[in-house]
Amino acid sequence: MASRRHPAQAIAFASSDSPKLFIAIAETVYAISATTHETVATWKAPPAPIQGKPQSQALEVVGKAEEDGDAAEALPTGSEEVPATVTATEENTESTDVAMEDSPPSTRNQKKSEKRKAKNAAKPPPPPQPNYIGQLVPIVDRNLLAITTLEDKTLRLHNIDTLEVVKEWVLHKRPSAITLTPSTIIVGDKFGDVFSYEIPTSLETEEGNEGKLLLGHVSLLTTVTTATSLPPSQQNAQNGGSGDIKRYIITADRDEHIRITNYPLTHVIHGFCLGHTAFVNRLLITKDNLLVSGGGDDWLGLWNWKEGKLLQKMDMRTPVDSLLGLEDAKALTEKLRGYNKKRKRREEGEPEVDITIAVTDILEVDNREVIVILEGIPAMLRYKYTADSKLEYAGYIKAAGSITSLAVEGSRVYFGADSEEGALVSYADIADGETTATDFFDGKEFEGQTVEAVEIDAVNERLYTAEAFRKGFGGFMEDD
Amino acid sequence: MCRPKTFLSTSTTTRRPPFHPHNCIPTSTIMASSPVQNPVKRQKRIDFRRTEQQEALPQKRFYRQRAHANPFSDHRLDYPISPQDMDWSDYFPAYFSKKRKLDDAADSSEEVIEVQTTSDIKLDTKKVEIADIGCGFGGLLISLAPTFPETLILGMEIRMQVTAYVQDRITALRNQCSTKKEGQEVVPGGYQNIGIIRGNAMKFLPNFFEKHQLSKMFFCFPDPHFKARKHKARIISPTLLAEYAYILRPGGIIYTITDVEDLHLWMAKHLDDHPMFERLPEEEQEEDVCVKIMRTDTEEGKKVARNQGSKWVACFRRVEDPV
Repeated sequence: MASRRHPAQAIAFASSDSPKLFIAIAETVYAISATTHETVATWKAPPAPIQGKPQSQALEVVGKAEEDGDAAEALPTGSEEVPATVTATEENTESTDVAMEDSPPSTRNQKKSEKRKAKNAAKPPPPPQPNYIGQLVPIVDRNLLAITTLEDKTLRLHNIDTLEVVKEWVLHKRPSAITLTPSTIIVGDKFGDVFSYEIPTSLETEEGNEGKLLLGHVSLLTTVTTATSLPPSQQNAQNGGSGDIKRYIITADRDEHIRITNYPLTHVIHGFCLGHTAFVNRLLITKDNLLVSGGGDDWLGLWNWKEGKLLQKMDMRTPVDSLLGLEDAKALTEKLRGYNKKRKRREEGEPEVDITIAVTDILEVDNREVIVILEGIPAMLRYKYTADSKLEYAGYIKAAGSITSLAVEGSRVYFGADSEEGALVSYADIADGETTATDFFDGKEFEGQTVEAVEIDAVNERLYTAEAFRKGFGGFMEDD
Repeated sequence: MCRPKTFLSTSTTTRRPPFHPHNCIPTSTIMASSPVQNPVKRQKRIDFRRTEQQEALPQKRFYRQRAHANPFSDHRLDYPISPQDMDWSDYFPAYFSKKRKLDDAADSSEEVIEVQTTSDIKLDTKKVEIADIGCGFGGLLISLAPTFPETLILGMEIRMQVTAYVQDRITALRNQCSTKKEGQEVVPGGYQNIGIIRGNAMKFLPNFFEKHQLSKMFFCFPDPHFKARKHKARIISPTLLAEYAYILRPGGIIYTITDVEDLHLWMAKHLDDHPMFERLPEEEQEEDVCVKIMRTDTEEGKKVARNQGSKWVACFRRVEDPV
């Protein structure tokens, strides 16, 4: 396979004085003028430091990290589980051997540690992992852009025009979710914890502004959003002002939970929305103050989140199946299996067509409809509001390849697609009833990045992570 | 599944599993699959469970499992989608009717399965009110059963073998009570009010219990997780306390006991710091019958007493919700 173009893993639109589209490709963020479509600034994430210990010990650190790697950290990708088992098996036999010799404990330990050292020395140092961009969130009224980077686990605030770093926080764990309140940035991590970071009022005099732990799940946190007891549209009409309005943080995890927590009294849980049978990956609060949820289930949920009631399940399976002809579906199945090495593990009689459903983003467009993108699927699904505040499927917008990122501005939808021939970033205007997309760059020069052939698998595993949240993914489960 | 021969030859003895310093994914995988590799032990276990289950109490030696499980990893667990979906009849057959499956509902609507309704207990009127989180071999459950004969008490345990032991123990006790012999003391509740579930309480409590459902939660001799980087695996943590406060009713009590002073201080500190909990005054704590039972009747409690170790108790009341 030849080299290929690296798709945009995240995009965001900022409608400031000079409206811009931010595009994250691998380790770099590009700020592109929405009017001239020219690149006005770029920022590349610094390489991630080797964790914790000085360089001279790097070899040892590596061995250790693989053996007693963080359970929760290992889980999300699942990449360390299988090797961990192998290691343990080796070690068990090792220790039984030693025990049978009946040697005194001191020599036993010595022997063990020697063996371990030898084993570690034999391992080659791992290649440094690129410091991928995670999420992009413009804070338009403050002229800032919040960016998370995954490998060095850092949250940075950038000047929205120049992309210069103005503030940074090193996070506790790898960030997996981010949202804003008027004065804080809320970040959820792969360990299940949610922290808030105050947006500094004055950038010069900032010190000791530490993250505050708000809440935690004992599960990988996939997404976080905020909600108020009244939708924003009704808040102004109230005479009492903002005093009566209750605020909430809504979080979702890999173990099917959606949790509603009071904010700022985060020690008080308001309730749960339970009904999903696979991981929940995305949440959206609609104009009617209802909650839309999606993840590894074949349906999207529409919830009265205040009462934890599931109002409607919107089917995605039928639309997805109707998207593709048989040959396309077969090709897509192959492609999906190629996204992660664990999917490639062949079993006898695997079906030729097996399109997995994993929601990667849900957004509302112009108060009229909800759009959904799914991992690997080369189209976005549209669900329109009906008269009774429910949602119904209303067709799709086709893309040149898998849609990897999504942003909305007014009635316009921007998305990044993973394809060689088609546009890197396209847009479609829902108001005009467009069902085909236009190339964002449309002839304008944009270099982007290419992925070397040897890197393609590694890049796929970084880009397509949602399906791996499914339990038993790769065939491994503890016990039984 | 392909285990080296060395393991086979050593594991037929009653030796404990080799100590593994790291987290538990690897070894417990092996432990759980050991019956497959160990036909002798497996057969013994099966024979025992088949023949003597009726009224004889189970023996721990057939249910041994390593002491820890990793709460973060995926286990093959059964848990309901939500508390409303839970079928409690498997665990408390005297108190719950079988939930009919939606598919069957149409054609067999009249055939409600009658389960042991010989007693005058009204079905489906009670909810579980007491939970013993990490109940281990079930000593506390069995002592609590006659103390609160009208209250449903659920033990939760993550280790499979241990769960099986407690289940068999409860079954045996129930059978003993139902076939009363001359001179046998009547046990209030007949052990129908206790149940055991295999589950991961750190992840799935909200799947089993509604808001404010519980009046008491027990955390007896929990895994200490000494390493600082494993502290999130502790069953009492600042973030988990919010979940416990959610399922406990105002006035409900969290009981903790441990023989590790560090862990005691940690649990007490985090409960003290949490706005939803206040510590029970010393006198009230010492008068509480549950505290006495917790000190003397848990399996770990007995072990600590045998070794003349210290036991540290801390109890906290769940306060009213803030307005």
